[in-house]
Amino acid sequence: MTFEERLQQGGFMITSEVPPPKGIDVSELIGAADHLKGRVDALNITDSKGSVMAMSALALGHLLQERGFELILNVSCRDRNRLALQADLLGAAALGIASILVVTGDYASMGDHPQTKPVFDLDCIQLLQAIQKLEKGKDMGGNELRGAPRFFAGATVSPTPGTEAALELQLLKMEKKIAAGAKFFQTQPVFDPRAFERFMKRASGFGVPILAGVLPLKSASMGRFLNKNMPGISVPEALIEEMGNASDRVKAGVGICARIIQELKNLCQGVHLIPAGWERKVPVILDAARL
Amino acid sequence: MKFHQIILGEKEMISVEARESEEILKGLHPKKQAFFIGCSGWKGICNPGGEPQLQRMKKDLELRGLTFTGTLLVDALCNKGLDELSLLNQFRQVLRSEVLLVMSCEAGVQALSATSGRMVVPALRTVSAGGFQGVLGEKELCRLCGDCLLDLTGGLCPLYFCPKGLLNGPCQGAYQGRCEVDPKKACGWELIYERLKAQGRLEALKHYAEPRDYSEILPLIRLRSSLASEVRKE
Repeated sequence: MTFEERLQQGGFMITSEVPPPKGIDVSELIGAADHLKGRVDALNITDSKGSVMAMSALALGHLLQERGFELILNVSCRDRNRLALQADLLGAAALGIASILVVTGDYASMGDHPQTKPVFDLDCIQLLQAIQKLEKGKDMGGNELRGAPRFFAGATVSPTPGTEAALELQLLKMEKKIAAGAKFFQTQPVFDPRAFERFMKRASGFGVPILAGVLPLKSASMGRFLNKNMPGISVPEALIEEMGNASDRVKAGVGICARIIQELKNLCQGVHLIPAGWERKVPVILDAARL
Repeated sequence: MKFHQIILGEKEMISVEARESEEILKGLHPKKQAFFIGCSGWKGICNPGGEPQLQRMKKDLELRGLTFTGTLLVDALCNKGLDELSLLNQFRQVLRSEVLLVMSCEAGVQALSATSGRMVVPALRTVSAGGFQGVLGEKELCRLCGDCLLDLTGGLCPLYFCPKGLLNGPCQGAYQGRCEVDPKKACGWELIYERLKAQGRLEALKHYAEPRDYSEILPLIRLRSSLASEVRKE
């Protein structure tokens, strides 16, 4: 069953993500992904996330597709102009990958190739429009396509940003993304279900499935690091303390993650688990969250 | 990323900074004799550093083995008429040199190259003309992109304020109202939001901005080719 079909069925959705390797050795990654098989409804492949150079997401997508995974291909606007974006989208469709997550992309200065020239020819809303156009059999230049693709496109949103203005802007942009064809959303990591609830009060009215991002904490210092360096992520002090006091950090991290997931079950249509290295622990987390 | 020397004239319309001596000397091997010509700059517009900066750089370069046939400070090196007069004024020292070291913004370097016909080496790098600030140097900055949408953003330029140049709203990188790329700067889109809110025009944010037409965005091809044909006519 495709991701789209599973969403339509209803029921609480679970997605996760894997980053392509920096290199050509995919064996460890495939091993990690295998742990998620059967436990997730779809698997995102990230696109040089954090501007850290990695193997092409499309290429990894093809390798995982062959192994029977249901995939969501992340497409960032940072590295490719409209020619390359359309080319990759057509390539994905030809390889049988239909689910796309459109992201703006982190700025290049954040990653390990800060000298590169950031592209941002299109933003994510313009890319969503371009996807709709391709589906209608035309490219952005108005030329007829030899074979029109069909996609199931989604976008991201930051549900608990730092300021009121930012939240208003996120909701406004979310509406624009839906108008441009976004059919589902995966959010930035949520650590405070109450704050997320405030976001959902407004966003649930848009009528589009929302999967809340969840990121397991590995240590107290990770919590502090996220607060200091990752925009839009705010880890409550209570959780940092809990991690700091824990004798078994893995158990505490898994426990906190499962608790958050359980609270989110009543608030949205699913969760997007970001393992960040803990791919092998995802089944444990899902077990603890009784999913 | 290298840490560069103090930026001269950070607040002016045109910001320049001194190139490191090693970098300057890289363009000068084998060691040549140089004539050092500097620009006094223009109050409120640019500040190449004047006589003190010229002497500072000369001293450091001499310590590294460069010899000078002379120095000269000129009011505005970007003016070709002034350049011709200045070069004639010091023509013996200029002729004895093999290279002109130029302490000015890049416009001065190009003007001197055209008038002197000699090898020029920039002593400074033009970091930015941050944006056009109007003829009397105000704070509003224009990126001269040729594809204006100030009507949609309450009069604030998203190209200037947003490093990603986003036109349909912010990314998700803002932290406490600060840009993910440069935390010293505000998120441009939050500034636009506040401006539109104050104008009672938040619905402008719902407008869909089309992908940009880069064939019409400066530097325009039609401008570049006309300049080239001008030079050939000379």
